[in-house]
Amino acid sequence: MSGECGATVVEFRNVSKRFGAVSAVRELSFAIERGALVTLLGPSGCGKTTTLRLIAGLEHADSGTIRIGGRDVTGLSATERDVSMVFQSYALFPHMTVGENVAYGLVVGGEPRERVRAKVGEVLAMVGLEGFEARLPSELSGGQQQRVAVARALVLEPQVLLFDEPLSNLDAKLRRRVRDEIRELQQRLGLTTVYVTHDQGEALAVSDRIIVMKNAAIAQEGTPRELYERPADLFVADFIGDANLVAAEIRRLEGEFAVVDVGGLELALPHRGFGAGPASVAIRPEALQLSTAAADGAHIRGSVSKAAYLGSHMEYSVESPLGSLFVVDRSVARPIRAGTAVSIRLAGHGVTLVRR
Amino acid sequence: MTRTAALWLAVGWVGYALLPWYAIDGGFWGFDWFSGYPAELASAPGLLAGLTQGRIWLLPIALPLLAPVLVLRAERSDPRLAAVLVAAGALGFGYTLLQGFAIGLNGWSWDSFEALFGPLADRQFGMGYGALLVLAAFLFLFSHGLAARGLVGGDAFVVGSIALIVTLVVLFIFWPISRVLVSAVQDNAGHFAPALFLAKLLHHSVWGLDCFAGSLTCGVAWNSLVLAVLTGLGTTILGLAFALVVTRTGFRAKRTLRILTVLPIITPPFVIGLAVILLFGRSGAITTFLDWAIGIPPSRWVYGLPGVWFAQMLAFTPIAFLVLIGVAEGVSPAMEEAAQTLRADRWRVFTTVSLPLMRPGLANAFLLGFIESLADFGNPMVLGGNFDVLATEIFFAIVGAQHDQGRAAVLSIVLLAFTLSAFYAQRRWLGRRTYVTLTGKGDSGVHARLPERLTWLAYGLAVPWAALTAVIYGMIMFGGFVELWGLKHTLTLRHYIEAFSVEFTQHGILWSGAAWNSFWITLWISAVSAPLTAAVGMLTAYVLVRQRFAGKGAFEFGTMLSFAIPGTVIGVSYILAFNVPPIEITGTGVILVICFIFRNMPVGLRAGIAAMSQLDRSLDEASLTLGAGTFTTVRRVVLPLLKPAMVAALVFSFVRAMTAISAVIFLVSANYDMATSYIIGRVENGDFGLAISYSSVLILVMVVAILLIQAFVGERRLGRRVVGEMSLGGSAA
Repeated sequence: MSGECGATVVEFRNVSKRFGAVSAVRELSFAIERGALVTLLGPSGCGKTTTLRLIAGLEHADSGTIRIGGRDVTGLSATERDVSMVFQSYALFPHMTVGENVAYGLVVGGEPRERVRAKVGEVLAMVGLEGFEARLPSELSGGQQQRVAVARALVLEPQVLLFDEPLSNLDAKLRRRVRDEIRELQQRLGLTTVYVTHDQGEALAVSDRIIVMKNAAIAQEGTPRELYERPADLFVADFIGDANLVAAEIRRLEGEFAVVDVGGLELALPHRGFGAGPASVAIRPEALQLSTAAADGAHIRGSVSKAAYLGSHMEYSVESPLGSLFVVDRSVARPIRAGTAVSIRLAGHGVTLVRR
Repeated sequence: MTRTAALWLAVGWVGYALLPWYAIDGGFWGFDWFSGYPAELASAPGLLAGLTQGRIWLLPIALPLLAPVLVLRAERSDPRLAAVLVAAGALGFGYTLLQGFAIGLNGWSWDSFEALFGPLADRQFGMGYGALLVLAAFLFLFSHGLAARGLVGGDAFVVGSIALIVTLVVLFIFWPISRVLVSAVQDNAGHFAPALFLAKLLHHSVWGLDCFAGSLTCGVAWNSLVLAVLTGLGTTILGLAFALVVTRTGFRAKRTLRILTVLPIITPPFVIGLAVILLFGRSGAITTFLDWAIGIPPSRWVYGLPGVWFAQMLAFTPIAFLVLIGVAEGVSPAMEEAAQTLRADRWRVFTTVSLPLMRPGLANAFLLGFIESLADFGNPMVLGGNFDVLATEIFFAIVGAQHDQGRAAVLSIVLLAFTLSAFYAQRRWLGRRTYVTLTGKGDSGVHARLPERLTWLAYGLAVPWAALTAVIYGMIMFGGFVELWGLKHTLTLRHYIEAFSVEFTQHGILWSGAAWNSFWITLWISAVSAPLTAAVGMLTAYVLVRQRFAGKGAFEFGTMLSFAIPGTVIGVSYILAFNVPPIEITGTGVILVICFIFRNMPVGLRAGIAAMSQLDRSLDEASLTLGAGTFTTVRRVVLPLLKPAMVAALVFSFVRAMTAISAVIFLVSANYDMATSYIIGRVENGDFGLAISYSSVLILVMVVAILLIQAFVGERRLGRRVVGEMSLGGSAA
């Protein structure tokens, strides 16, 4: 968690929202600190976009309170909230020029003309689009349109900036560049930002903190590292990165650690509040190390059923007493053929006790 | 209280304490009333009339206008504010309407009130601008109160729009129609008479079947029904032929055929009937030719079912064409291509894939033709002869020698039952998607060609019919230049001079032609009602497409309902509802404007709904999150992007106002005569020359108007502009 964060800017307390019979958000509570970029991450339909729209005021909570900058805004409309949003489709007004689009919020807010012009120029320069004022959105590339959308939201200097899947309309190459630009801008200006995505890689790359959502509620929140290394349950483990879920047995607790038996291998893992008895562990695919050589020391025997070459790494499916395991191996130079018998070891990282 | 709410409160006080409460004889904008203001009752504001003129029942209105003053400083979120606004608005609105209805020209309007409060010596006239402002203020204070309670996301603009539209629809559609229903069960003295109602409803002249027994005529209900079914079938078949020729054959002159679709829009409905008379009447061109060439003696066959049917087919086939061309294009070529790759030949592709997929469209086209035929007043009027239909019988029941309002109301109910059943069937059975968007996204691929046999059949139907239509319109343009049709074929400008002569005198231009009066009135009324119609239609579309609220389904049905109400029924209902206080507007231009707004609103509404559904919702939301209110969002983002739909709505409502006849003929007065009713009058006097020349002038004016509106409202500025233009837009930011 970023240490310099100050006061809470956005606060949800027991917020619920239903659409007809469907619960979109259930009893949601969280807080977002000043200057942080917090990502709402989850599969489609988990309620992350509804949460974002609740912050924006585009949806209204059925119960609970929403505070922005310490002020109760639960009953306020989008117009009255000090929040700007970058839409998935960018929602640039197609009948206005870039300049008019960026100026829109200032003009309807009644700013004097001179100030509007100065600020529009300033913000466009900030996103690297000086001199594009007179263009129409349709005359820009996808990446440029995206930057106009960001500029239009920034120009109002909102307390909170919202991004709704801002990269989903860009091609894969451009995505990383724009992602880094957004993060760089956010950190430079110290903007409090809420960012919605379903792409875990994107979330890990940009976030100070991630809130993983599942079925209209929070599954886990924490820094990217916390979520990756200490997922609370299988859902989080599987959603952020890949994971093999394996049955295990906690033998005993030793201080911070639990001694765990995984298929005959004994490991010391942080106990995370679990007691002795049957348990589950999540194993990252890169934590499984395969070897064809006759093994000595603790290992599990298995055999490779599928092997795929992906350029930077190999992906294997391995049948073993623990079940079918998914393995990633960086050593592309010496691939193992399907059908080969292998011995499996566990690395010192990437293995966690999780709730089922 | 928000600034807008305070503003409405101020408007209410202006209406109550400053403006004349009652409608001014001779018109508000004449400002003749100023001489007696404010002392005379005729021009006194409500407050003064209550204090000094004995209209004490106007005084309680002050209370709900005072209450909101007390909460002027209250916070927006204060629950007391919401409560006061809702209560004051509802009570004020209810009371103001109640006193208007309860006290009319003869004191108490209802016996029960007279029994309760004793006889009343004073009386009052229709409401004027003062009352109008007060009512509007109450309505919007009420909706501000509801919004403050969090209704529809607390958006006062949306709540106000819904309240306004509901009020207008109730006042100008449901209330008049309910008057028809009530007056149907009353005798002409106004007493409840169910037996008389049944007698009129089941009367021989309505449901008689004599035409099967002998040479007598059948009842009007049967006549209307048979005509409507025949017209529905005929127009659907012809429309399908046209649509197939355009979409599925290699026919060359497709663009020319498409012009057909514009014709019914710009043609006053009875003009076709006129042209049919000129061709096939006793002295018509073709009749005369046949007599001369092969000795068929002239007869009166066009006057009756065949003639009316023929004219309606000419008039309404383009409507079916318009619907079916969308349907025929809408069938995905991929389906037809799939069938072809599965070894189906052209005939099988057409009969097993294309035609079944068009079925909903065919049903839709039939129902449209059916409804149009039932509602058609002009053609039966011109060509009917002894063949009476409901639409014309209603008219004669009111204006004819019988002068039987009850009969008119009963016939209206029968007609309404027919059209509403068809409307209901259409909505229920076909759902929303049947109003085919003409610009549906086609996937790439080519429509299958028609089988050979069918191609020739479609050509055989469509081409002669198109030629006939061309001849008819040629007739309309040419007929005005002939001295006396059928008898004296010398070319002359006499009719145009009689209708449109202009003299330049020392006092300026003198519009001495006989048609000028109705011509200017028509232009003026149409020009006023078109933007209002478009505005109401667009606002309704916005509320329907973009907002979620309870009762939306009923709201939509109510707004679309007027589409299914035949003009004659609307005409009768307006006369019944609006010739007595509190809304006393018969004989004015206002009633014509209002009639056009609510007759034509469904057109604007449908155009708006179609266009708005294609507009990404996040555009509105972006505007909202940028701090613009809903009203600003509608004005600056939604409306500019809806320009094409606006053009369509403006054109339609303007042109339909100019060509309308069925409702109008009840509502015109000496001061406000419309072109169409003037022309019908001339036709009844046998003055075909002037009628036809006036009609052709109308058609030309409408073409010009369409082009003007298109140029004025302009294109949406979205696409890539050429480089040279780009510098022009730069200064706007």
